[in-house]
Amino acid sequence: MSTFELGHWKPYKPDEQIRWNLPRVWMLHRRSGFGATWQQLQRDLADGPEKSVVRILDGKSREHVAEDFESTSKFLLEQAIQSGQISRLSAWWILRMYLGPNAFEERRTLMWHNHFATSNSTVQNVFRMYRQNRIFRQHGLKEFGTLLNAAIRDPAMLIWLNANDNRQGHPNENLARELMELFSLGEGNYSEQDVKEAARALAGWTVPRMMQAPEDPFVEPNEDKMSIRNHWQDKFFKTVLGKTGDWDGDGLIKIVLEHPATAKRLAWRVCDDLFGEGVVSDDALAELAEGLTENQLNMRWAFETALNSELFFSNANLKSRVAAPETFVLGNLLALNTSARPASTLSLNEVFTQLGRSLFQPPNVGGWDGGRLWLNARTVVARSNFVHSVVSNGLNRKAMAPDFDGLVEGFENNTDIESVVIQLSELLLGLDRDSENDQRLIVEATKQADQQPAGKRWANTVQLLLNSSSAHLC
Amino acid sequence: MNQRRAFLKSSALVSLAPLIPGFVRKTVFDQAADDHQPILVVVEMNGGNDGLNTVIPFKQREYQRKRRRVRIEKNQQLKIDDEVGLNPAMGGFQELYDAGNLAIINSVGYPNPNRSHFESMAIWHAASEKGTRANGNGWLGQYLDSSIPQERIDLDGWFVGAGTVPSVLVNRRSQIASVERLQDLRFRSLGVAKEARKLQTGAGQSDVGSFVSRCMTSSFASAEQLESVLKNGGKNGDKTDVRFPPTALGKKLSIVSRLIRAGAKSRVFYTIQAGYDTHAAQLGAHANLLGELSSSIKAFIDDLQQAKLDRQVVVLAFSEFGRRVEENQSQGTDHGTAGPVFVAGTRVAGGLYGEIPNLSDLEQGDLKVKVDFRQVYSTLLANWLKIQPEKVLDEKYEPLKFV
Repeated sequence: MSTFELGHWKPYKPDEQIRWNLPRVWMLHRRSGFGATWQQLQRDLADGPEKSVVRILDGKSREHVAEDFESTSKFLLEQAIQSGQISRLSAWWILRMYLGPNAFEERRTLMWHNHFATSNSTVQNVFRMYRQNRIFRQHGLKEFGTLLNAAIRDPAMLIWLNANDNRQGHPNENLARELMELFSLGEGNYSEQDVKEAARALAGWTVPRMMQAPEDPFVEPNEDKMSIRNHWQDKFFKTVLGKTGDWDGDGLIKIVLEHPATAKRLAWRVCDDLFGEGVVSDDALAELAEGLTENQLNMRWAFETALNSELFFSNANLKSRVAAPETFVLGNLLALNTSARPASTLSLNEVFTQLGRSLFQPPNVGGWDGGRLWLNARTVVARSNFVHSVVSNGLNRKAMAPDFDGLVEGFENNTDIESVVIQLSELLLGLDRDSENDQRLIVEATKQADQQPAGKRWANTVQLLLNSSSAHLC
Repeated sequence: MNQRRAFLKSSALVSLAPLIPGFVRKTVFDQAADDHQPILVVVEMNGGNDGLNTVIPFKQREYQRKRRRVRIEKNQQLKIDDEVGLNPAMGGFQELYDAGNLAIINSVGYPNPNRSHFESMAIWHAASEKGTRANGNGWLGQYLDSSIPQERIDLDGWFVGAGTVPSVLVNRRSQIASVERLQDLRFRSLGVAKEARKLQTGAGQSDVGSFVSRCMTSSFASAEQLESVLKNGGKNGDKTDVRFPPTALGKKLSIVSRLIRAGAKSRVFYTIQAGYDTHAAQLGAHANLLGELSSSIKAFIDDLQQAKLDRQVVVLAFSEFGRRVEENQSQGTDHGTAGPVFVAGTRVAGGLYGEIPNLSDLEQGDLKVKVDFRQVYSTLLANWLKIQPEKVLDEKYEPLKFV
């Protein structure tokens, strides 16, 4: 890695102004993954930011992953592919997010699913959707060129964006347009003429329309690959983004990867995924883009830089994002330590859908809008109803309600109601016990906890806290 | 610890400040609402509708020449005029047109058309060629902000459909409810939700924090009120014998009708009909979409007519762009420019507006824009919603006469 000088991205060193405290550990987990248990939070609080971030990037932050997790995951994946039901593939992925070894990898995979948003509504093939997901997983933290080259040649994408219909003399611009608008340069950095020329460069890329899923999802079916039809190619000169040559697809991708707008869009994507509203300035974004260019668009470098930065842990970044559905659902399930008797991830998939995150079925090629648009009357009600189900019976019949007493016993100080409420609000909401504003919520919640019958006190208090507006911020 | 306790006690007093904003107590469904409050219902035809196969200029030979396979023969079209016919699937629209209740505005678009779905839709949503406004509002959001008295923040718009509320409704002062089915707004533990109202200030003073608080508070209020209204059936009765088509759009418009009949005093209802991005095998899919559109809107207007509420409602249907004049190789069409906009209702002055596209006068193979989409907005704002268009749109646009 180059030693690029990054004024806006200087590393975080805890001090009195920006203390390494529970709200920051909490944010680190909710933003880089989905959330953490009380024990994880305490461990990272003791170990400091540097060690905690490395552990997350290396996928070692979750310590108690079931020994047979990978074999269970593989079994569910095979079942999903054989069933042909996309909901079962979603359930498999949610299992990995919820209980798998590497939350950071799952979050990045989700980010790329949003970036290269492809829907099974058109692809209509569970195996192909899975294989695209595997590409995001395998290449998501490498140089972006590796990922782009793999994703754009993958059959799911080619079906999704009508590659088969793009032929010399009869262009279909869909793939070329989205390559420029969404996957690399971003809107405003190319002309309509560039799109037309790019479509010519991609002419002749084809993929079999239909395929049979292989029995073993880890064995690559040879016949299901992109191939180039010689007589559909356009071998004449094209001018794309000011560069003239007899470009084919490879040449085109090289041009867009080298264009500075691509680094900028990737920097934006990373910040959009990790930071709150209005935290990253245009200058900081430009600097991260420069750094990405210096580092051959290495995505791990960008995430590492961002997660280690003072900007990430700045006050302005705390509680400044609307929690996305997966953060709200899985973050709270993890915090409530439900992993010993988890809810079926098929039911969790239904909850995801109600909250607006239908995995493998993004609303359109632009992916999910996210941010404030996650919340509206319907999703607020659905979030409240999800909390109601979890607190009363763990979401479905197979699961059980969280062990609230066990949870409270794990707290450092559990002798009085107020202390427990403070720790619950730290665990569930990432509140700061030293902040005047957060104190108000804690006082009100303590008052209400006090009035609850002893047997149901903590269940009711958890439900109450998760119905507060703070529960939707991370 | 002791010091913190002292602090807690003093801030407990602070926390007794009124936490429930006044607007929560106001009802969304005001039974005494002004009966003449105009309502705008919008159907977004998402994906880029092929206007040439919707309102078909059959007389022009270029239509036959450019559309060799993606073409509708003259004898199948529903004739509404000497020059144009409707897609055969649009029987509902033909009836509305013949009754004088459908305005078709041809060749609508904006200068320098953008062929990206998102950018173009963003432009239509924001009513700005930049695709965004300085304050982030959509044009209907801006209308709500401009038309609502300062003191009332209420549930003024509904988005009926799945997914997130589209940017066209983004606003600063009022609340948008979003439902796919009416039961989506039912709390399983309304008691807890009510208790939790006192916790809606914990999000801090940040802009996003107050947004969340506002959203939560109003969601609780609207859910509670929806409950009582649906229980009571509403002032205008809950039953008519109109049958909505059993399609996605039919269901959405039947929900809109039910809400209006139940006395919702919201001014704007927004729905999306997706699927118009017909790059391949267009004819059948497109006919299904247009059939769904026209029969759903027809049923909606019939339903309101039975409830005697039709004079309060106007329906607008638009798409982010039209499609290329020349068909592509996949028996479909690619992204183009201008297209027709529909305005329906018993208060509408039916007929053809704008200019019928001239296929011999193209710009790089695309239809020329003859009517700026903001002229349509301006007309609706001035003549229907009764607000000065300049309060919503950046500039003055010459109004049309369809309402």
